Amino acid sequence: MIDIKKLTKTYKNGSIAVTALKDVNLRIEKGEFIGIMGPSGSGKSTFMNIIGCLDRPTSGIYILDDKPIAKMTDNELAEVRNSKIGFVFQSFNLLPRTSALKNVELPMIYAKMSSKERRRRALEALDWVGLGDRTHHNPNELSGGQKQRVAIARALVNKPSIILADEPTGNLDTKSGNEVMEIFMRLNKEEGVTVILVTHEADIAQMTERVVTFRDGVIVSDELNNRGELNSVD
Amino acid sequence: MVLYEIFKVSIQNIWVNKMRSSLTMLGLIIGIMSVVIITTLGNAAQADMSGAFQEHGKGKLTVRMNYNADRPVYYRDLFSDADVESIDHIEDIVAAAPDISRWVDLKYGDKNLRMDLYGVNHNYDLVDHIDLLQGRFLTESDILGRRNVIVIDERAAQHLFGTVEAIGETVSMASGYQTIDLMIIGVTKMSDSVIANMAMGNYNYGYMPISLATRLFNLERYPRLTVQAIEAVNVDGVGEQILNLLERKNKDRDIYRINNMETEFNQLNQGLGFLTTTISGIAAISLLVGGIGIMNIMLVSVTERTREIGIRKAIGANRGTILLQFLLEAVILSFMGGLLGLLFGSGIGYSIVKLIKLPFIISVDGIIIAFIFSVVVGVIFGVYPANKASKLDPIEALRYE
Repeated sequence: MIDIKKLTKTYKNGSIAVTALKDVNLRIEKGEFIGIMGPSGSGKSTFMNIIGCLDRPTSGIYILDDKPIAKMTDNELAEVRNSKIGFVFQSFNLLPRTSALKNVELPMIYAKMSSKERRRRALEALDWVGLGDRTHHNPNELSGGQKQRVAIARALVNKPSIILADEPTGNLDTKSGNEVMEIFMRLNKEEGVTVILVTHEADIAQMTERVVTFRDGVIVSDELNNRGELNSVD
Repeated sequence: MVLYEIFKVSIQNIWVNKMRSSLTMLGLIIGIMSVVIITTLGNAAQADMSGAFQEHGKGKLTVRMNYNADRPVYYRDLFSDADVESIDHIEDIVAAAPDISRWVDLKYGDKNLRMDLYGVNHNYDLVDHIDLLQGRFLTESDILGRRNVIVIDERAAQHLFGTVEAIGETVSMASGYQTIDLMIIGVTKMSDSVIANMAMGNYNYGYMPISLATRLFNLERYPRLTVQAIEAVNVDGVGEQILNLLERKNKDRDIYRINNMETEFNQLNQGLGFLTTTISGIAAISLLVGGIGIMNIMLVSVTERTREIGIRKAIGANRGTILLQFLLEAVILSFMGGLLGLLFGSGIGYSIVKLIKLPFIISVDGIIIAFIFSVVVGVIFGVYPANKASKLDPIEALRYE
């Protein structure tokens, strides 16, 4: 359901063109739990931005749920981000001075949902991540782990096809990190949501089913965890 | 629906930054306030003058000698009793009243007063509404009997007698080498119009029988005629009839000058309206300053909330939604500024108007213009920051610290 072919992204830095991604091919099926690894500058952030429809490739094909993304307008991309993608960031990126409930309701506002429906689903999502008793707390009244769980609730509330998590445990202690990872696994197993998780921590990557490693703008390895099978690397 | 949510967010942001928001609004408050005060005063002045006109000037014509004509004015050109009578017979006329006026000195005890004294007939109150505070106006028997009586104005009575209770008192009047005693029979009331009274300054006036005036001033003819047309008649048409009639009496029509009070009033009114608009326009420049203040604070807000914009965009807000959110915030700020300016302006305008006893007119036009202006200012100065916000790259914005 994600099909990427010959994806290339170059940035023009003055007169010098920097290639961040070069002819990347990748196929991700529905319900997969993928870890993306790679050192900084390897192109994994650029890759995530393109998958997350925050950025467009310079060339190549990106098909999400049978729809080609590369040629979409800004507004169409915004709608795809709203309905098909849930973001979870390293630094949580919750709106300050806004309750957990209101933060979770935000994507549904842009999806033009009724306030009643928004409230019901936001409460349900918060309950699902175990924060049913923290709905009216503002982010500054929550711990790091709780903030990240609010962010996950916000990411899943519009029932997206994929959840993109960029170093979601990077700012958390091990215990909270593990709790967050458990939620991702549960989300993947119970709800069948595709989870794509960027990390540089090997033990976090180990918790995923498949690890794709980037280096210098290309995929250098793509292997299944546990089974140790090697997928084709173009 | 989405608009309502955006609106709520905008209100929230304005509320969170209370101090900043109120300071931002101040420029607009002052701008709208000044415009509202000026238009309130202008309207009050116009209403006051219009009131005075309705009472004293509506349908009124004065016919006088045109000293700028090609030939000099001769004694025979002045109005004789026969002229007055035939003009008085014109169908559309209520009354035609001649007068002779002179500056005279009144003396009572050790008090002196310079007065513009009109010799008029008893029918004069048909052409100029006379409000009496004390006593009575001239009667036919005063005229026929050429009685030594006088009607003076309220201020003259106050000056000479220290009271308006002056009926029956005798003053001595000096004009040229003549001196004559006159008995006060009436005291007229000051005009209700504040502006008319202000324009009067220290002007004092009085009325005496025209028969007495012609003898004292040694005239048989009258240099001026005041005509009151009946209601709902073309006043200029009446003026034309008068000129035609004078022409038939072998008089030269170019030697007369007819003033229609309505025309004069309209000119005055127009002048006042122009003045009000001009001063309002100058005051409106402060709206520009207020608008720039709004733009400035919105630009700060966009920078401060770069990360928030990034989050909103990542979550699915499109450019239009972000633009609308910031634009709405600017418009709400300016609209609230306009509303407060209108309230303060009306309050201050009302106080001033009541203090100088002018009528207070709620200007619906002013209110609408104030609102339109404040919204327009919000839109004009809000568009640039809002557009800037909407064009932010979500990736950059999310990285912003």
